[in-house]
Amino acid sequence: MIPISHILILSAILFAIGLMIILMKKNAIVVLMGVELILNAANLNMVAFSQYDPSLKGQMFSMFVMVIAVSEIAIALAIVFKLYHHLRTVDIDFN
Amino acid sequence: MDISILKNIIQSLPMVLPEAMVAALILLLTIACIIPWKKPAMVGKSLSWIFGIGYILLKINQWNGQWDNGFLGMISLDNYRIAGQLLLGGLYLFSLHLSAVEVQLKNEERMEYWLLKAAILLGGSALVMSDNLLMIYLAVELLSFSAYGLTAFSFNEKGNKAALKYLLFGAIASALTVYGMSILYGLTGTLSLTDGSFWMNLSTAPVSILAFAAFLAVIGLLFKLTAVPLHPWVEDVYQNAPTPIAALFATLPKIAAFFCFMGIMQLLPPLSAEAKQAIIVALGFIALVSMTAGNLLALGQKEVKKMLAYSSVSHAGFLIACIIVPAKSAWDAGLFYAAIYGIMNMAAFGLVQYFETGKKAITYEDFNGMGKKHALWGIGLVIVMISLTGLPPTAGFNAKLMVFLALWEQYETTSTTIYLLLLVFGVLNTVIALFYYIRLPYHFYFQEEGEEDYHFYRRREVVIENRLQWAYRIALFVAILPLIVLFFAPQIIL
Repeated sequence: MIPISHILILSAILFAIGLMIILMKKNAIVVLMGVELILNAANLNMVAFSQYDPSLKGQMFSMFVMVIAVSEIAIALAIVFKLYHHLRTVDIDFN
Repeated sequence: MDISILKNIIQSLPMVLPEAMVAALILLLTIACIIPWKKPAMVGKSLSWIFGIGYILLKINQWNGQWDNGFLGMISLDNYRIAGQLLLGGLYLFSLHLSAVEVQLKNEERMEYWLLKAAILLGGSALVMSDNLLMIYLAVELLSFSAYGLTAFSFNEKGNKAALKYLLFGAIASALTVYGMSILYGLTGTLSLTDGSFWMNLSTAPVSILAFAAFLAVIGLLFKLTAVPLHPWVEDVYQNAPTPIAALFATLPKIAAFFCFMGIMQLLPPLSAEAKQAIIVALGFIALVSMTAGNLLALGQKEVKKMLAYSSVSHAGFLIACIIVPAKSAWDAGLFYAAIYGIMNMAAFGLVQYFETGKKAITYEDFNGMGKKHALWGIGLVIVMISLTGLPPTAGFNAKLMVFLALWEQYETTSTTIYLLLLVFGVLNTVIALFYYIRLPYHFYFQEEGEEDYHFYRRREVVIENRLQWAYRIALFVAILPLIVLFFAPQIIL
């Protein structure tokens, strides 16, 4: 069995990469990819921790997170698509 | 599978009967979307009204009931939370009324509009009674997703930009929240906040990890409250979303997050004294910065809706100040403040909407010299603005006073500096707030309308139908009257 610290380090790396993407990138879709990385890092954490929990609540949580992430991306793409109609770009420069 | 689990679920079904009503409304509207109605707005509006009133009646029916934890500790219900949900229901109905006017004016006949609004009510109601990290996360997301869609409902470039900004902020906030929750789960081994082991295990956890995880985990709620590190979206969203939607955003999610926070703070006692102290100081600091930064940012705004947006950030600071006082007086003060905040913000946005649709008034200067023609509206405006500032004779004064009293009592009993700081900054901020709130009536009554501007605005003026005028007047009367009545008789709510 893989020791839990390995999984936690992996998830921390994913979290850090996601956060860096969010902070550095200008393209809205790439920012959303960063968000997705953070969500997956959280999922990994949840599943890893649930090996100490006989009721497996963590795994259940990660299911919900996956479904919600999908619907979030669907809404995001709809809005980005509409914005592309107006601006012909999906870069964010908020002003 | 254990049969007792099934029994628990069946027994707790009556707890969510009102929410089931709203869910049924959402399903009905989904079906109604695909039917080619002659007047979709009429159908959507009437369905929303019927089910909205049904929601409130069922909630009243739950009052004083013997409710305990339901759905295996996912939700819990008591009179305090029911009061919060009744407030949400009332705000929803008022916003429906404002929308009805907007929809008739713009001929915006889309069914999804009503669907998303109902989803906001459902999310808010679920957030108020959630007692579990998963439930809080789901409710916050339900609130956010429908809000993203509604922001884009002005169907122009600016509205879309605002929606994208809102969405990116919300997505990042929710991702960080989930990461924080996952670490909390690892530290405690449970997701349920009512579970005793949750707080016991937190007390023994290493402080640095705990602080990191807890900060991340409350980001979602702070985002909904528009507290300071998570406020930059507020300006664009309130300015560019349709006004009834902005009115709904300014009140419903915030009040829901506030009641959820109150519920969590009620569960804190098993924590060690140092941890509690740390939480109170951290949240107190956020409250302090929120009320000050919100006020200072509102001072510099030219558009009225942006001013209202930042003023709502400052009000969020006062709400958080109520959250961190662990005393009965703060609970009453919080409920009263939330109720008054909701009523007066709805009234303010209603007034702004009237002048925005009828007279195309968006900035302060656009309101110049309107006092001559619209004296009665002006009286309403003055009352609402004075109430938002927190001066007598309006209920805004009572609300602020109760918060200050609760803070002072808590400072006297515990002599923790943060309460005193909050009190001092709260009073100072009330003085600052006077400048930008009273500017609107000042422009309204005491500024002369520019000559060339006059013709310009006359030309753009949209004539609002007589029937709508009356609908507006009645709605605003209903919203403004409590602000006066509750000043003289605050015991009606308490």
